[in-house]
Amino acid sequence: MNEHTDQDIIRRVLAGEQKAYAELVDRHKDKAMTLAARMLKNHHDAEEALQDAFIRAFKALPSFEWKSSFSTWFYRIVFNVCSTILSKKGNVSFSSIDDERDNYHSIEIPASDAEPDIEFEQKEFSAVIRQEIEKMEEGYSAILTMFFLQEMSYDEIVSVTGLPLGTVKNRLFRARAQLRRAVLRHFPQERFLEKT
Amino acid sequence: MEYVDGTLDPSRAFHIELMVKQLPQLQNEIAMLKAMGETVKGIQHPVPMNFTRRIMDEILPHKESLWFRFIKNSSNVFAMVIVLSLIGTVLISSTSSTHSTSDYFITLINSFSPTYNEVYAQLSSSIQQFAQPVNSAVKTPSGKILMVGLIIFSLYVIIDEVISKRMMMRK
Repeated sequence: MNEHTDQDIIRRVLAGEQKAYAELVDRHKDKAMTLAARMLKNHHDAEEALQDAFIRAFKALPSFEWKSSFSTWFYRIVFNVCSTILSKKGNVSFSSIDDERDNYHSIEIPASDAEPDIEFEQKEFSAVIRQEIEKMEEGYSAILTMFFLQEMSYDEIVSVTGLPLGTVKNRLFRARAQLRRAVLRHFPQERFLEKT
Repeated sequence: MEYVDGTLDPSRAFHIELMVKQLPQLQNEIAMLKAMGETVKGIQHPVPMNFTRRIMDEILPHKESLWFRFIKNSSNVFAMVIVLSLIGTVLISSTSSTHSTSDYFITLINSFSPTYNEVYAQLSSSIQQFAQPVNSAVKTPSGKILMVGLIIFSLYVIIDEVISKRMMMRK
């Protein structure tokens, strides 16, 4: 295994091997695109924003802070580019801090008297989740994406978004609650029981 | 949630696990949350195929020479052909005069090699035959105006193209 780390590639780029930047682009483009698309809700705008973010990141590479990972640093750029686009469009959902919690635990859990049905329609389930993410506010879907897709920790999300830790946790909690409600509207809960 | 995400400390996670084993409803809930997380992870928005190349084209300095990029553009080639044709017509039209430019070239080429002289003479006569109507048209006042107009237009296209290429490079 001779896998280069992101930081190895950055060193090569800074040493003058600019073509090596293509490796970084290839590594991060799809996940970053997902983040941009979920924030901007428009594939074309997301593509342009991502292109802008990659060019900005390249120009800013000399000021890269080696203590953080490239992905966290880069997602911060993507997040800022998308936030700027949204604020220009008049959407300011990122700047508002809403600590009001959903009454998650009061949601009634359906009884599972029936025999557990382990198999469920993955496509339908996926479609429900996708639709709900599309409907979700940008500030929530972005954090949901960072947490699940980018597998970022709370601290990393705080670093990327600049939001307080409590807000990040709250938004993730609410985003999941929204998904959960949507899923329960379509599927009986007992279908999810794992094989143990 | 921390239990579902696997971020809970092991001792607390162990206690919750004992509880979960006794409560089928909780098992359902956890299974659903995990399925949701996996699905969110699986829904991605891929970028177009040529995305990386587009980025690199924007980033990397253009290595093609100015001349090569100029030739690549067909409008430039067209403009260049017009300019060269007009210059050629002017040169050929002046062959009838005593001290013409083409005579000077013939003398010059002749001094290098007689073979070049023969080739040039043949080429010149065929071009003269072809250019005869153009030549006579250019000698009329309207023809002269048209010729000057074409030269100015061609030069404009060339200069505009070179300037816009340079602007793009700086950008």
